[in-house]
Amino acid sequence: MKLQNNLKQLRLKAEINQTEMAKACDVSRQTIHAIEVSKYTPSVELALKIARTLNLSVEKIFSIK
Amino acid sequence: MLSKFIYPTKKNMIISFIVSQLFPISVLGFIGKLSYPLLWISFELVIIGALLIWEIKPIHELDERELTITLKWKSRMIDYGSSVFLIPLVTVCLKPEIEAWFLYCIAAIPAYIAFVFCSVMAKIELGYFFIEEKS
Repeated sequence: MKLQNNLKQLRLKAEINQTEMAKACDVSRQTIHAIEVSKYTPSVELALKIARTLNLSVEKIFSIK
Repeated sequence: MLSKFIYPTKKNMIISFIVSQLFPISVLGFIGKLSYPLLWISFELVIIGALLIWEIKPIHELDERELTITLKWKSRMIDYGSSVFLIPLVTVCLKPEIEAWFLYCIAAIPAYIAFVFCSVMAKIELGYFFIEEKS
């Protein structure tokens, strides 16, 4: 099972850049990039912070395939 | 304890590199071998290695991904760094008459290389060396 996400599309739709997203979630820009390219699986806390920043539920951003 | 983290900016790197030249100048000057290029190269490699292990951020500013990667490479650093101490142990067992400075060199040089290698690999994995796509 692999964790997938459509963070990049949702972030661009919300017109937020990586730096702003990183600042809102209290992480580095590189971490946001790593999540977008599925190089890093975020913790529950970070996933919730991302969802809150985008005003979406976690399930809409992350899914298991 | 009051401490201030010095970030490795380009300016700080250049200043440190120039200031650190005092080290080979004083050592090579003291032993009268200022014109030996091989000795200069080895000193420069040590200085560049020292600049490469400079931490990008203080530990309390690292996020969860950065902490994970940093810990992974720090543990490997300990693994590799400690395993190279087998080299002088084996050497001294096989050849007990060997000189101490030689034993020190064959342990310290690989340990330093392991230390620099792990630091560089951690920074590459953290994405600090090769800036990835920004959008």
